[in-house]
Amino acid sequence: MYVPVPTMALEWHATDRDEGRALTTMRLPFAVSTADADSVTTELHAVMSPLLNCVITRVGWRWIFRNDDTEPAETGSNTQVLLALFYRNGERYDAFYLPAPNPDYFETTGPYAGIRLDMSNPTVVSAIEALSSALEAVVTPSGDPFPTEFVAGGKVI
Amino acid sequence: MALASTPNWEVSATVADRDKNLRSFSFNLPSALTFAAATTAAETVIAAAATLLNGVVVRYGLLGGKYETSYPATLPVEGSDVERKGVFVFNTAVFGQHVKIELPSINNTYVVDGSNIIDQADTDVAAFIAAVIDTGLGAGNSPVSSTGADITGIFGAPKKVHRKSSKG
Repeated sequence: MYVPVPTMALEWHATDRDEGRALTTMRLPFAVSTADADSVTTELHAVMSPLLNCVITRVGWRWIFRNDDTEPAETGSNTQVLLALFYRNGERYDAFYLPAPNPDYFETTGPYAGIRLDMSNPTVVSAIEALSSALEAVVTPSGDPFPTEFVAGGKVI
Repeated sequence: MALASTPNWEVSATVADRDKNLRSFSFNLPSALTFAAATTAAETVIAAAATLLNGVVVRYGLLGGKYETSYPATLPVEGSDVERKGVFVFNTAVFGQHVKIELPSINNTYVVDGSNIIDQADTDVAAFIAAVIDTGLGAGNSPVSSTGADITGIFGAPKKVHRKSSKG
């Protein structure tokens, strides 16, 4: 279960003439709404800007939720990443990188043993269906719908 | 200079393995989603992805915000330097707990000549300090400490500090 940390972060990203970058963090109550975070940002930006001669290029509002309940499996390892490729309409491909894929779900025989998900495993199939369904809400960084058709097996790297 | 809303919510989920090594995966959600809807969508994606993992998603962050529309078309001025910090330390409602805010590239005109002290009597400096202390910003959601304590006043004199450049 995910629980909120005590406060959310107001992150000010600054850049100078030489592309030097800096991050200044302030904290707001976690329960602040996006509208109120926006209001605080506007008010603080107005009083900070005259003091600086760099540019505030971005202000981030970051809410973090923690899960302290679950212990990773004994065999859990972050050394591998599943490169899950998805496509839409047969043309647009995007990648989803998932760390620590469960090796129990890899193919065990053939040329792709250990490097592809076993699509004959019902658990894998239902997990991919759930993930594809959940990805309907996801967009690419440019705002386009994220592809949801899974390229069978993916690749473990 | 104008701030515009970022087009997406950025979600970053951190996966821990048995040895507490951390890696993350990320994805984007439309900024049109409300905060509540975005958290629901994020947790749905994370739960589906977690089925395939034998690490544990120990935290996730939801990042929204704004960006400066005039950058990089309009560059910062020649004398700007983010390693020249204006360091402000504030008291909080919890005795002994302080909040440090480092403003990058503090304009040197606010520094008292012959010292590294930032002039609190200057109206711009005073306005910034007052805004951080003010508990009325954003319908009462003014800056607080990391544990949520109210910021109550300035602690000592704010100073200009130079950080060592990592670029040489």
